[in-house]
Amino acid sequence: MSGFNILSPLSQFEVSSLIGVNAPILGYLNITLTNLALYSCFILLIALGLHLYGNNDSNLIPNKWSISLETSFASLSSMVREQIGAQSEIYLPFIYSLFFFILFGNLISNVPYSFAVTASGVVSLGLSVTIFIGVTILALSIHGLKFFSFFIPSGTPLALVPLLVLIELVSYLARAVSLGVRLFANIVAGHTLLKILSTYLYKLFSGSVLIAVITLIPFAIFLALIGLEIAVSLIQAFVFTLLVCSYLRDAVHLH
Amino acid sequence: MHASLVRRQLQGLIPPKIATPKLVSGDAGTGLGPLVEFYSKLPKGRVTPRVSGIKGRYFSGENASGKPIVALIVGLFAIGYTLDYNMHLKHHKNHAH
Amino acid sequence: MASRIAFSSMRAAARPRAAAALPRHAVRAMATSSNPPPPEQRASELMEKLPSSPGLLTKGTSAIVATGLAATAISQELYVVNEETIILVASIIFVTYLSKMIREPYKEWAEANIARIRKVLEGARAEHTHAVQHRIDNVAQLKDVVSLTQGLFAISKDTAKTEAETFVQQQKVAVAAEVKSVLDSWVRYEQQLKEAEQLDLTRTVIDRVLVDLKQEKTQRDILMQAVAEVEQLVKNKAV
Repeated sequence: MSGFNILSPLSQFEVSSLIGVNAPILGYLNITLTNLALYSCFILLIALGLHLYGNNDSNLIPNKWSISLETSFASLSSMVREQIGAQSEIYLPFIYSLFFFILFGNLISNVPYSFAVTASGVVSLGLSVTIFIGVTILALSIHGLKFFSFFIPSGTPLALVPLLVLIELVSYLARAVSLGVRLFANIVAGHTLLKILSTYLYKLFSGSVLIAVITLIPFAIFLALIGLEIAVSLIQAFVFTLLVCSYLRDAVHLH
Repeated sequence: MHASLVRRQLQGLIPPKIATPKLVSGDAGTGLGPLVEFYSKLPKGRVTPRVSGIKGRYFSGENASGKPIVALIVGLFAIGYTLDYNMHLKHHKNHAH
Repeated sequence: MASRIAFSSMRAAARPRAAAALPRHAVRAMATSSNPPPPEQRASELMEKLPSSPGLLTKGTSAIVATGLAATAISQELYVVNEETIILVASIIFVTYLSKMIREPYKEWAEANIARIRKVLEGARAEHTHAVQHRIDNVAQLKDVVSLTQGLFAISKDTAKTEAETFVQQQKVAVAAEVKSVLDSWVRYEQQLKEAEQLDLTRTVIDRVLVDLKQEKTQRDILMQAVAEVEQLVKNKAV
């Protein structure tokens, strides 16, 4: 094992501070720019830049940049309309920005040496729990106490009510976790897999020439996995927003 | 003579009405002035696109290209590599750990 | 043991170069296997794609500079070749392939959509231009309406004046006719009066003569005169 230093394949998800201020003010305030924060800023800048530069000066006739923006807006808009209802389009800006945040977070992480923002639990779980709390508050403010009828399916015998309420409550609370875990588990799994495979491939390639030539076969599979990762980036962003849409529909319409 | 009688007698004298303001301005009843002002302010002919800046060169109109994506990926890789190099890669150089 | 470590570290130092060189060859081999154009053409295509700024940097030198930079970076261990490089190479291959796959369909799709929107908008503009032009033509028919109306008023004024004059003339004619008829009647009356007077006169004369004739004295006078005339005639030996 000497000669190769193999870091843990999970070390790429490590949040490390780049520039930090540990000032003895306000009870030892610690302001740190971590790679997580830096890449979040990149996501913000890219999302902003795409929409500022790709808008074709708001011309009526689109160009090749703005037509992709218009198409993605149209598809997200139709998704919101189908899921939440035509009168609930006030949630479209939220869904739209959520989609682009997750999409760019996922896509940036596919660039080698870059940090996967959505692979940190603090981001994806933070997002999902925040959305869960917000959706619950929204449902309470729309329906008041009637919201709690959500936990009792219609036509339940009275004897079963306590049990069913418990089950429904647990399943409702599980949403908060499942939403975030789905995203970050997918990204973590994909990146870890790539890291492990690339470590193997590197070892094989740095062997003799014959082995390196033979390694081209698993390398082709590795190429396919890279493609799969990019596809997963898109699909997970879409799935996340779709589920947020369905939770919003539950909050607005209560079944 | 009565006034109506006079009018009837004068009817042969007054020439027929061949145009009214309404006929000119459509059914709106207003004059053509605002309309003419609006159309005279519209730009005429083809627009010559101004190619300037990053947006003009790589994003706007016919110049839309995929180069910014490539630049973005390369830039992200460079930043990521620089960070990684300064964080720990340079300590693993020559495999001296 | 120490010699083994030294040996392996020596081998490891040599490895990065081989590792860096190998995947690139592999890329070329994979890319060319599907469509094999002549290598010269392939090379010139590659050369065309390289960046260049005229005068400063030719395409050939930019290739040499890039290769040199990469080699320097690797040999100086500024670029550390490790397992992430495999991901990098694979990503480059995949993204290049993907962009090549996607470029043409995306271009076609985008241009079809743009053309559709452009057609709709330009159709609307042409229609609107047509409508405005139609309107302008409509209004243009009325452009000499003012002078026309003024002409009509002038004509009607003229007509009115002529009618007034005609009326005056008619009145004059009527007055003259009236006067003539009055005068004629006067003339007729006086003629009748004269005739009546003459008739009266002759009747009076005849009556007087008849009355005179009935008187003896007159008869005598006439007789006497006749006798005297006869005597005269005789005297003159006329008879």
